[in-house]
Amino acid sequence: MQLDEVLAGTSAASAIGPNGSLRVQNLRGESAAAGRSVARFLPRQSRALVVWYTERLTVENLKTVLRAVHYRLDRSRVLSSLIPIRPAHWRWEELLEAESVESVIERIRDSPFARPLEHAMERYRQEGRLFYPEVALDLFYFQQLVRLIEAQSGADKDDARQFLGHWIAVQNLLWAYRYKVYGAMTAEEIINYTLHRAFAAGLDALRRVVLGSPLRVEVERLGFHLGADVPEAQGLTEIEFQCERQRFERATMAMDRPISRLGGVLGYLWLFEGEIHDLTVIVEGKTTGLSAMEIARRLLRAA
Amino acid sequence: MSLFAPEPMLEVNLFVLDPDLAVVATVLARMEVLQLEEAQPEGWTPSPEWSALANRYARLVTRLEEIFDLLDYKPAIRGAPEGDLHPKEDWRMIEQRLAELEERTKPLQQQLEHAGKEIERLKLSESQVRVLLPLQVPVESLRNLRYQTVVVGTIPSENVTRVAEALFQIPFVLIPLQRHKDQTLLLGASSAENAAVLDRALKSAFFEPIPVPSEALGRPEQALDSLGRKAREIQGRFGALDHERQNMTAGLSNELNALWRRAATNRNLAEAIQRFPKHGEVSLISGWIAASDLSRVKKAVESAAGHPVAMEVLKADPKRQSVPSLVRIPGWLKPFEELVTTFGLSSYDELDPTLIVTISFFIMYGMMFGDLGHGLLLLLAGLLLARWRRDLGVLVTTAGASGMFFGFLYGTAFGQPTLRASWLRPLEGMWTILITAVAGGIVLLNIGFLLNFANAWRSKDWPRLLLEKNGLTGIALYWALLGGGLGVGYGVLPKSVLLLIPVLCALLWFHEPLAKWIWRRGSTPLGEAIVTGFFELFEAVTGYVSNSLSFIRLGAFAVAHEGLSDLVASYSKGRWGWVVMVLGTTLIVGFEGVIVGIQAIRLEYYEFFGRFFEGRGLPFAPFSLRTGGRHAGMGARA
Repeated sequence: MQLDEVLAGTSAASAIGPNGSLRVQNLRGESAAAGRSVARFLPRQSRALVVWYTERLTVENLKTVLRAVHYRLDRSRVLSSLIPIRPAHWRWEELLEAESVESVIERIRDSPFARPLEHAMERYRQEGRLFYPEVALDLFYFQQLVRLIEAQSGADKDDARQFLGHWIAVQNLLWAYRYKVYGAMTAEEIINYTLHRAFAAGLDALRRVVLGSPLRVEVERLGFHLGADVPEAQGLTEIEFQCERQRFERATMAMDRPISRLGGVLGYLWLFEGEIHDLTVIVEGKTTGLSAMEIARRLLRAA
Repeated sequence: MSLFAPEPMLEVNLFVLDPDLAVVATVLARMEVLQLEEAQPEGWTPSPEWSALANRYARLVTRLEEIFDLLDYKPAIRGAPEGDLHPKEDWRMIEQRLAELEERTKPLQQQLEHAGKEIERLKLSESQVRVLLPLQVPVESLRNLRYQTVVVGTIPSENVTRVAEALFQIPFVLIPLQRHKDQTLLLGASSAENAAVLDRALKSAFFEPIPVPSEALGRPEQALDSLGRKAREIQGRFGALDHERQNMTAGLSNELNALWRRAATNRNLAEAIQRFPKHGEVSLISGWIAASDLSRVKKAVESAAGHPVAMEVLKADPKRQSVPSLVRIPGWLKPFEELVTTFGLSSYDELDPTLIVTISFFIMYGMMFGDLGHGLLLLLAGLLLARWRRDLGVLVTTAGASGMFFGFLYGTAFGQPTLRASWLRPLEGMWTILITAVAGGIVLLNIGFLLNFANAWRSKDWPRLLLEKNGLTGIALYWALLGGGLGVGYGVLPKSVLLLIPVLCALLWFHEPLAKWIWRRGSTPLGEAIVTGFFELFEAVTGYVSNSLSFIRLGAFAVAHEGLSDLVASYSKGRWGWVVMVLGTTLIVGFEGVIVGIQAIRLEYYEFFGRFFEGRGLPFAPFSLRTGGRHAGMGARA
């Protein structure tokens, strides 16, 4: 049975390309648009949080553009890997035509993302590494997200901390260990390239990490379990997956909440994202010839 | 030209061959008669070639605007490019010429940038040296410290505390010296053995070191003197560069404007064409056009293409489609159209009330603000205002003229009975003016009823025409209540006339079930329709009374205006009387003039429009090269 036949009549049908392939990016764009739509039912402050949360896709697209310009990648291929975001801040095709990373920043001057990128440019110019603008973008995005979470009040604040706060903490911890394990960075670099305010994994956790606290111990504080003999590099992947699965479970449980509450909207959004993840795993698993068992192990939805 | 109704619209689909696409689109855009609609028939896809062209022109426009920025000059937006547009070829010429212009302006740009950076650097150096003032040691000695490391530079302000956190393992000193925009000038120091840690922490927080300037020599005061001299020297260089910039602007502005207009117009055209769906060699241009423009457009398009062009023309169906509304009003009425558009735009099957609103608004305004002197002042203020805001000026002038006319009828100027009243003085004929106001309101409300009949007839909405509160049943009930009541009261009509009232009330109460029964319209359950019908009946009857009585304010304001003016006049005697007169008149003309305007508008929007006008029309936004392919905003009334 062909993919388009299986997905006919579902919301994913529109993401099937002319050659029968699945255009995941279209689905991700739709998830952000759906998030913004349902956010209209929320009060002003929590609406701003959801809208900023969906800006994650803009950050991803910007990183793709920066890589394309830096490495001079084929424009048409890059275009197809961009996430169609509605409404778009910029004409992505035009950004891709920029001759340098500086020129990209010049073209997005009116956006909030220009300033953090500018801060990282001197270092980028000196060393020619995209790591600096990318980390500056991530830090800016997440710092803003943390600010918006902290600005919530009442039940929405609890929802924001429970959903996004926990997720941010895990991301922050994983960044710190990745910088340590893969980047062999020093303590001061790790602390500067991570979030100091990240709920359960803020500055104190970062200091423990740079002073040598094992991954297993730190993730246990966040409610995850890792075998004692699992190497840190492998453990990072495992925790990443556990976090995604936990996100999906939280989202499923939140589906009985009203859509006029932040928890309901975030649950809906995460469920959408989780289903896109699972759909991608199934399609890619089938394409690469994985067995049903192997595919099921990688799914967020429990088999 | 219809004064009262939006133009009949047609939906057109133009099937244009590739070679004719640019020229046909240009003709349509220049005529500004077609509102483009997004159409996506199955199997038709937008053209990537035009998307690439749109990007190319957008980039050219940006580059040209960068030159404008450099020259500190604003492009002349108005005016079309000379000669025909050739979007597929024009970019070559523009690009070539732009490259030459960039080459010519580049030295100036580099010098300006260099001078700017130098000034910025010297300012930062000054701040840096100023910190050292208490030390009284030669600045250059700080470059050669043996046991300490000291660095100065800029850092994003939000990263200052981050660096401090990152240095938790070593002793250090961080001193923010000065904040400029989102950057902070920071001095950092640690022991020499921890220099590498300090350096890594600062660098990873995007710190940019500023070396102690080589021209800063001697004690801090001496270093500051030499830095100041250097800064003044560069400022002088700026003056010369500015002169050069002005010369360059004078020499290049015409050509730059012409290039910018051509690039921007081509960009707008390509942006529109990239959305036209394409199948093989044929592109589809879909949109709305006024029926009266059709033959003119067809002729122009075929003349541009040089052969007949396939055109599908469909009649607009406002029940099924969102048809844009194009109301062509005569030029003399234009300044007053905002009286209606502030509320809303008449929809496709709705009559446009601009003419009636204009007449009734100024009658109501004049009635409330009737005074020869005050009207004259308002008229003069309007004439003055028209020099900056033409439409608003005309509006105020006309309001002033209306006030003067009623002032003549009342025989008052600045609250004084200077003339013989041609009609009456409001304070003396209070009852007459109040009754006249209500009578005038009844006339206006009945015009509203009639306009509602016309709107219902045009949209073939029979329940609305016959049964609803502003339809025939409604007007009959209105007159049964008003005319019947008065007629029976004065003994002109027999009491049996009053029997009509319960019959009409019943019709209005059960209008929904009746409409469902006769025309098979509506889906409200019977019980709910009866309950809501009762409340609607109650609201309609109270509305008829309150809407009519609401116009009494016209008379009340006329009386109040004269009373207030009289009061000001009576206190304007004696040595300082003129002060009271000036202040009082200013208050009356400025404050009361605005209040009276608001009251008149309120009567139009609530009492009059409530009978017939919804104002939910979609503006007709013709495809144009002027503003990014489509007009924005209320470009709807031609």
